Amino acid sequence: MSSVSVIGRGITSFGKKEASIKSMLIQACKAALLEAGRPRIDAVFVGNFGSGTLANQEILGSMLTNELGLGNAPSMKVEGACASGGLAFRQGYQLVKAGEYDTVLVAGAEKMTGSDTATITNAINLAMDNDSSEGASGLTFPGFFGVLANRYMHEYGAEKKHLAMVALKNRTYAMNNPIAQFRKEISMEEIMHARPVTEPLGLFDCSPITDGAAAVVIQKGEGGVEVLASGQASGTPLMQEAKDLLHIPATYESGKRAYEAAGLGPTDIDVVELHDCFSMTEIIAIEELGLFEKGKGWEAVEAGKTKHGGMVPVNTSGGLLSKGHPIGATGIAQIIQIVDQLRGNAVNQVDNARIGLAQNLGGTGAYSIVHLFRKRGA
Amino acid sequence: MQMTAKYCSNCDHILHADKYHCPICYTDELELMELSGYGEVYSYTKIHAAPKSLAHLAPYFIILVDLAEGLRVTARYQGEDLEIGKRVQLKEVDGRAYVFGDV
Ligand SMILES: [Zn+2]
Repeated sequence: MSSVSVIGRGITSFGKKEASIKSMLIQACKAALLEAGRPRIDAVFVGNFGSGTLANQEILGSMLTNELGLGNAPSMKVEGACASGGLAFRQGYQLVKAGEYDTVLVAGAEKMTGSDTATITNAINLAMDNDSSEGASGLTFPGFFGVLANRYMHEYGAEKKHLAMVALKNRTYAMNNPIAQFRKEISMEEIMHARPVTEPLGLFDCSPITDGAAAVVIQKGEGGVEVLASGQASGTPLMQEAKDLLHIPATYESGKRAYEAAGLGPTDIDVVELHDCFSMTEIIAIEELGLFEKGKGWEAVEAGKTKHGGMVPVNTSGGLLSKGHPIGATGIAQIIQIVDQLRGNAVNQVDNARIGLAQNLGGTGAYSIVHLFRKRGA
Repeated sequence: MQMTAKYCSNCDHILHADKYHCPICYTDELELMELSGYGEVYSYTKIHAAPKSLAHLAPYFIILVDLAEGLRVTARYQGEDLEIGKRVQLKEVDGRAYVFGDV
């Protein structure tokens, strides 16, 4: 079995930015390529959700390859809603593992703040099945997780304060992250009494609108943080078709596939970046990934098990909630935080981190992808 | 108020009215089935940040209803008080959207 490693990483700051999608992509990729020692690139994959609608631009793959002087290297854009970045990484990883390429560049980007709110809302709703009565009902993205949260609380006894604890933890981590969108301290009080978005979720329970780009260089061999496995799964994009609303099967399956491929299990994981598009989503994900028992994720949060000093620190970057969520960049940014953790130079470094997990979700459970990583030489 | 579903007699499977075929046996020949329009609220949310087309209704309730016939549908709720388990009834169909209210 040949090893595959991440040998370079680059990322822009996240937030409301003047920069265009092209310039952000160039900045992130250049940093990753320079760090990797400017290897010859055999292919380029760009994760992006809505550049056509939000940035008035397609052909990101070709544009980037040209701007970076990568000659005629094959390139493409990969779309899977909020999982676009993770899916792009998987394409690159699999082709290197299969021996098709030696070295690939994987980037992700989204330019969101250049559009008005109505355009952004409409663009995000493209990640739902709109040819359905559900789409017509007025259910929104955050709405799905509001419905889920009310049932979860009803079923398992969790309260709104447990959602707030997730938001507070991630904000506390983001305060140390120089690229994070939100670094200002907030209190439980402010989170609990924030403007409602989709009850019981309030403003701080929801990830923001963000500009940003991130990139990594993947290469065969053992020259960096090793990619151990990639697991991907699909699930229904319709709430009314979920067999059990309190489960996100795509998250569970993608985790299971990655664990099996790596010969590892949840107890082997030292640090996690997962898809906290909403505070509720983080609680479901820690359960689906097997880190905590079904229905007990909220107790783990309350007991501090998902932060430093607990069982497994989750979203040490600040997560989507506070680091920000430039849709196509998110999956790559998560991987960068895990790579940093396994190199030992991350913000909110976890002592002796050896194995890391990154989980990227698309839609309300339409796509999920899990990657497992190991510290170099560990 | 009339509410329908589709039914696959090959698979004895009830499907949402907007389905194009049976995903199990792939038949396009689905029967139309009348529904009572009565159900029970499985869960709900109150949406404050609405899409542009529904901004005039905000804030509005979205409910996930377990219909008497066994099908679960996403719908809007016109009313003030909502809790899990509440009995509701179809009141109107707004475009493609189901709108429920109190029994
Ligand atoms: Zn059938």
